[in-house]
Amino acid sequence: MTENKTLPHVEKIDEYRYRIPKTGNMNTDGIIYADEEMMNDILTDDSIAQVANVACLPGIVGNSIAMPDIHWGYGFPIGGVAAFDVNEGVVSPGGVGYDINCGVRLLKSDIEKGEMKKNTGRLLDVLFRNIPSGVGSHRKDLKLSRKEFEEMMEKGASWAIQKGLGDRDDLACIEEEGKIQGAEPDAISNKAFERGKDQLGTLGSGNHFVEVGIVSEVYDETAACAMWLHKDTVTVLVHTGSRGLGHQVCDDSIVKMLDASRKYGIALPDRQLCCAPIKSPEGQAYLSAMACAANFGFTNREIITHWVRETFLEVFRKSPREINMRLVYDVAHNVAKMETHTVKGAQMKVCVHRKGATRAFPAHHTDVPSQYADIGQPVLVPGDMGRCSYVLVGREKSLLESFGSSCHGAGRVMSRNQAKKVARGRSIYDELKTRGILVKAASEGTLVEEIPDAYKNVSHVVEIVHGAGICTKVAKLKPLAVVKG
Amino acid sequence: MKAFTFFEHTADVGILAQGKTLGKLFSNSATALFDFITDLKSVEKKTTRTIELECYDREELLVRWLSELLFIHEASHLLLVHFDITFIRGGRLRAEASGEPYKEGKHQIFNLVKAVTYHQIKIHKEHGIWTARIILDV
Repeated sequence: MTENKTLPHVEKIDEYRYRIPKTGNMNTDGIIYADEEMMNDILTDDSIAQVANVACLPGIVGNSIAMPDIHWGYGFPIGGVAAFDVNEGVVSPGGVGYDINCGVRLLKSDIEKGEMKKNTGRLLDVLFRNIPSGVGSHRKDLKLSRKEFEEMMEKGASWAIQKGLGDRDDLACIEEEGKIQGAEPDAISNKAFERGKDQLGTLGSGNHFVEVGIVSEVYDETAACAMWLHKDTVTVLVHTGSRGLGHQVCDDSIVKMLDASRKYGIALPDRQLCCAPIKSPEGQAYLSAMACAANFGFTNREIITHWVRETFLEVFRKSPREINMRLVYDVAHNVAKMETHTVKGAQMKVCVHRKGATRAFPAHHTDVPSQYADIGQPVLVPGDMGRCSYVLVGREKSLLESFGSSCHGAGRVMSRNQAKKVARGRSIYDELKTRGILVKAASEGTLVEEIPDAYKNVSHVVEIVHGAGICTKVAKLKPLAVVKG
Repeated sequence: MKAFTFFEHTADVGILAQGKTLGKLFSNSATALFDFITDLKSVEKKTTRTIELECYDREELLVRWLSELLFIHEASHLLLVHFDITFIRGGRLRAEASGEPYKEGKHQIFNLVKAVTYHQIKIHKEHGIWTARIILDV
């Protein structure tokens, strides 16, 4: 099978959805959440062909889905959701991506805008000092033996709490309570351990960040209240993943899956889509290794959160308890999960791949923490560093249409080089400062590549999922201070 | 013939490498990878690693080769600058990669590379020149 060279035919379903009808080797339709304006953007690259390619994989159930923040990835598109029958379907490392359990978490506090404004500069400096970011940086006070590292991969975020690097109350508000079941440290290669061993508690580079912001608008008072989010109070977003460990797990797994695809006679439109039956030894080995990396991701965000809280204590001289610095929620946006969904009226166990997509379960779903049972799972959608981010909640329609999934961010529109060209001669630091946003980046290069212009407008992305009814808006966050990797 | 150039990809970066022999194509691809990571002029040949790989075909071999170098770079904090392919046939390769450990003040890291992908990987030979397209996840 060869890759789709020409873009597949796309037809409009309604204001917020487009369909790629099943043709050729596709086993199902592709569905893209987009309005007309967004669709015109999406059609400028090959991501539509990638949605169609995913639809060709064996055992896919429902549609091959793309969120409005879709952009061209490698193999699977970024912003893609695909579910596979546990008995007849496949699992694909390329459907999760290299940064396994890259995700985002949101903290709230009682610090108010006025108090924050006086301290923004200092807070940013101390955050930058306390949280390792950029190439090769790590805290000297966090070194793990192989045994400790294995224990961490098995236990996930609760490991950090045991070590005094987290808060027990956080667990209930982390997807899967910070631990994906089935993690087997034996499934991790020595190479993956070597690459990940110094990287726990590090932000990394690229689009990863810690962002201090403020609740600038509340759309749904009841849901915002349940999340303890109040207008003009300070929030913190943490965006990072499983670092070198995840990259190497994905790399090791792809090597095995290329052989497995040949062994099981799976025709691939692109090698990056290589996969194996979920129940095969290769499929199970990937899921065990992926769970290890995912648990590293949860632990990483928990440890960074601990240092964020310590930073607030140092700057504001108030303990996390005094300022009620709670974790609102933590979501993974690059992961494959075993979930039960209703497909054509019947309950079915499926492996949902979310690559640049967020779980978005509605109210009263058993996997939604009890404090959010009446409102639905919080969905965190960070934008670029110059505009805003959103807090949404999952709705019933997401279960009916998108395997309980929604968008994950703004989505890039410019390549890194284009961004550099656009930014030439401009001081991004000063531009953001004029907009009331202070930024500190480990490298000038990252700052330039991550300019707001390089991304879609996150408000537009959010309007689409809100309009389509898979999620609804709760609050908008405006950035004040950003640490970039 | 240019040893390598970079091409645009929305979220990532692609390498277009060329060589008069398959071995040269592999060493030029490796040079491109490290040229993207650092300033090669600042890197000296102080230490050498020997790499042996065996894969299904030459496309997979190219990705594995670059992935191996990336692993050495990240796990051992080495910057690699010189590549000598001593054997290459079908899906098998033996090579030597030389460079030195990263040193703050001496070296600059321009970009972090997460992985070398298999997406649209292609090697072809035309008019005696080998060409490869490789997409990096950055």
